[in-house]
Amino acid sequence: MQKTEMQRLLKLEERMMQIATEELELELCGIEFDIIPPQKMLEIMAYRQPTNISSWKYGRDYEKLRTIYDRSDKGGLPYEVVINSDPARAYLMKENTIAVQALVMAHVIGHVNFFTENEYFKESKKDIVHFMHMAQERFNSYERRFGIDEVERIVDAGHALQFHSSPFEHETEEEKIERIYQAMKKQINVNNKSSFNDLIKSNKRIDIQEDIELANQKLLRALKLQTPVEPTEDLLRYIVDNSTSLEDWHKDILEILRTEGQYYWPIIRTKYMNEGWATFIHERIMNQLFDEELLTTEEHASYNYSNSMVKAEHPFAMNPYQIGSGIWKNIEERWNKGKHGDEWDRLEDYRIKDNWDKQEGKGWEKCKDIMSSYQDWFFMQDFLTPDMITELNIYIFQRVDQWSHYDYIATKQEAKKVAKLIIDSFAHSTVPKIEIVDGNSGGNGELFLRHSHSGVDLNKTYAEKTLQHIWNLWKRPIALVTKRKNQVIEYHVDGSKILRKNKLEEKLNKAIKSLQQN
Amino acid sequence: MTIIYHDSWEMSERGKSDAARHQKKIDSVIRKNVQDVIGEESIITQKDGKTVKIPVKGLRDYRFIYDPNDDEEKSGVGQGDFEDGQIIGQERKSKEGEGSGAGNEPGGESMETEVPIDYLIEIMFDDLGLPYMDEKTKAKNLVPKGWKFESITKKGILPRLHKKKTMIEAIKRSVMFQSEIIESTGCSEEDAQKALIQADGDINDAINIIDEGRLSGEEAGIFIDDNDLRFKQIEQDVEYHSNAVVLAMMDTSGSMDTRKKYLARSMLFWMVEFLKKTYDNVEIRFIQHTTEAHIVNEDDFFKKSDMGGTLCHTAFDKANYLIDTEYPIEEWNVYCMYLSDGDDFDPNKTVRSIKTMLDKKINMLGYTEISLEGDPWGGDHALLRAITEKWSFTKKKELGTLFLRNDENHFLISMIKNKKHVYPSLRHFLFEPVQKQ
Repeated sequence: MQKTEMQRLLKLEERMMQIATEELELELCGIEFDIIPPQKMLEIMAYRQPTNISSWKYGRDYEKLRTIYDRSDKGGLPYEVVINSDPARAYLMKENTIAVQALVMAHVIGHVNFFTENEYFKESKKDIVHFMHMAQERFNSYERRFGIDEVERIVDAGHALQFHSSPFEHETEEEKIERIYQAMKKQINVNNKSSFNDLIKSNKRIDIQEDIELANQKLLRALKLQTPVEPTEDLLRYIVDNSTSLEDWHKDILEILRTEGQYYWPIIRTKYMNEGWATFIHERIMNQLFDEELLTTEEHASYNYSNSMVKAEHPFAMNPYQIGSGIWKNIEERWNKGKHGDEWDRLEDYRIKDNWDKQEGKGWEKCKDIMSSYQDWFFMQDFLTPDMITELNIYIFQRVDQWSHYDYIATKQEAKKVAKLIIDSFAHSTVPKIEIVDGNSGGNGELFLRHSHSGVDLNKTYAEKTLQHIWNLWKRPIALVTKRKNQVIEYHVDGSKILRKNKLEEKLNKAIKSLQQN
Repeated sequence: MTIIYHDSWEMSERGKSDAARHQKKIDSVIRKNVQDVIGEESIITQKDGKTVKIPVKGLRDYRFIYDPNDDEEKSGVGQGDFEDGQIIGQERKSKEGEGSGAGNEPGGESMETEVPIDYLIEIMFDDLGLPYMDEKTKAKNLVPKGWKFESITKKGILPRLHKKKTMIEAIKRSVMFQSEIIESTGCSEEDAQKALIQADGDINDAINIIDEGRLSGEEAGIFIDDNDLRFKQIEQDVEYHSNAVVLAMMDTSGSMDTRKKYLARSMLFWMVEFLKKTYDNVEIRFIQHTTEAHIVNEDDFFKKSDMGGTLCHTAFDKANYLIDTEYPIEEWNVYCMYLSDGDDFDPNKTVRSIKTMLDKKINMLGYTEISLEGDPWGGDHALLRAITEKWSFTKKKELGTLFLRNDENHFLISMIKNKKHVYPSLRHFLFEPVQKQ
């Protein structure tokens, strides 16, 4: 890279930071950009961050990215990786033109702002790169000592469950027992003091006191026997603490992957908001740079081309960059013009809607407000309106059997229905809520899981394979209760054996049997 | 905020080595599902590309995810300006929908992997070879195998520079020179290196430079002298091979419907690809027949076919003619492979032609009968019955189908009832281990 180019980048960077912090009033931490060769860029993208552990998965993704890159018209699509650390670290690909570098830098500023202000990132580990680097060395030594296959078995299981551990959950099982005990015990004391105390003779009072203490002890014992004391979503925490088949080095691997999962926890849950926000911000910053003529007309054209690739519509998928930024723009416009509230919601005439402008001017304020406090699920619920479905060209497609082949056909359905379907699939921001209800079900150490169904079924194959991953850690039977096609069903996994029980069918069969017997 | 430029970021091999891990996993999946992989219809149609796309199961990141359509129904969400009912994509159906999921479903995470055909052959047939091969003494073929590096010399042309050997020589000499310089001037190792480079490798000059304090800002490194250069010498590598010819014969008559033809072609496709890869000098000739037989080229053999009645003997007559005129048995290892659904207007005549062929003492005759269950055309096994009345075979039942062999006449028979039988059939015919040179 030439010195003049580098100087230009530094100058652009300085101006971008000014625009971001002073004019847009975005909170930021320091950002370090590394300019690296394409091969390194693809590697970091495949590994999610520069110091990740080894896995066949990352190798697979590296191959995929490399193939796509080799076949692509190079320099068009901006590749981007940003690490949520302090200072934040981001990567720029050496081969890119100035315009594309600027786009990526502005985009990264958007992400770093999101990391800094969104409340779901408040508990994020800010030294994940160092943390995983240390882990990498230990994992390598485990591979040498116990063999790649054995390490892979644990790592794959850890990866399967790692997104279920919230960084906001700190309470230990003992603390939970104590909390529940205190809450339940207190009730007895309150009852006792308020109603009987003055009426009962002193020796009788001692008896009652003893009874209460006995009851409390009983309660405490019962609580301690109940495992977990209350349903827990932190699957890895519970399994690491309670599985009888895990060795110390297994636990070490799982603890690390759990911590890594906590780093990704908010990232997964804010994907559309975050990518949308970064795109929303980079377009703002870039437009200003063009207005100020810090970038040339040719560079503007090159930026427009790359930006259109970032926001390209895909016939078989939703583009989070395009949908996210589209929603942000819509929020800004609606709150600038006062297009919200009951009166607005009741409007149906498009001519009135289009010309509606109450000059509220609160768009940017509203965006910042939402950005700092929402996750994707709420974001979609509140702002993926039927109007947005139409504006963003979102449709449902269906596979139709044409005997010799399948056709995929776009359908135009009521925007309201499409929106509902998408919002449902964002339940819990795309990570289904799975809880461990009982760690000793039926007294034989069966792990009992419950899925809180929220409108969309679990993928059957994925659920079964994930349960087998859990079995690899638990080594005793696993059960999961969920709903499928509106019926309660249970998955049972024991080793490679998988059983699906339809609860309703079971009940029916039982009823028929008893009828026959009578 | 800072920008750091890495001109030569240390290239780690992580991506590559983990990709190899992934590849190993794919291999084992392919090995486990080899019958399915071989039966993939797309393989023959994609042949021109030399790589095939095959669906690979079990290499996804399994987690709890939402997805209402993991069964038959498939729907999803997409974006774009499309009309109601407009077709946005298509998906091929696998002929025998055995729940393999055709793989290239739009929108879904791609489960396909692109594999070179050679590579597939390597992992599926690496222990196989043409059976009953003889050393044909009369004519051995000299096969140029390419070039091999023979020796290392001091003189040569730059493209054949042996970089490693040259570096070793340069380092050996530099270390010697450096210690001499250090000894006579008392300078540091780095300065000695710098001086040597500044003096273009002349040791006396280098000592003078240090003594006179003329050391400029050269970078330390290894200086390569002309004397250090080492070159590779190459020679042509030749191998001696026996001649072998494979005569592939296929029934393309009316009773061979698309599905049967596909199975026959699939079988021969793999055999041909295997032979091409394994043997440097195997000739393959292609014969199609209905009521008469024609010699065709490979492309037509795998793509075109006629309609009409069935006289199987015409194919054997054509093959016998080829053996007599072009591939005399004293010079050639001759392998004949015939595929048909066993429907024959004149089985007795065919048996006579086969006898003529076997009497020539060809190396092997293979016959595969494509016999689908519930097929209105086949089922009477006319040809197979005639053959087994004439010759006796040892029978083996495996995977729900039949494998016959007659070692005396080198006559092997298999029956294919569905695509899962293609792979064991191939193994039935190619049972001899390849002689690895």
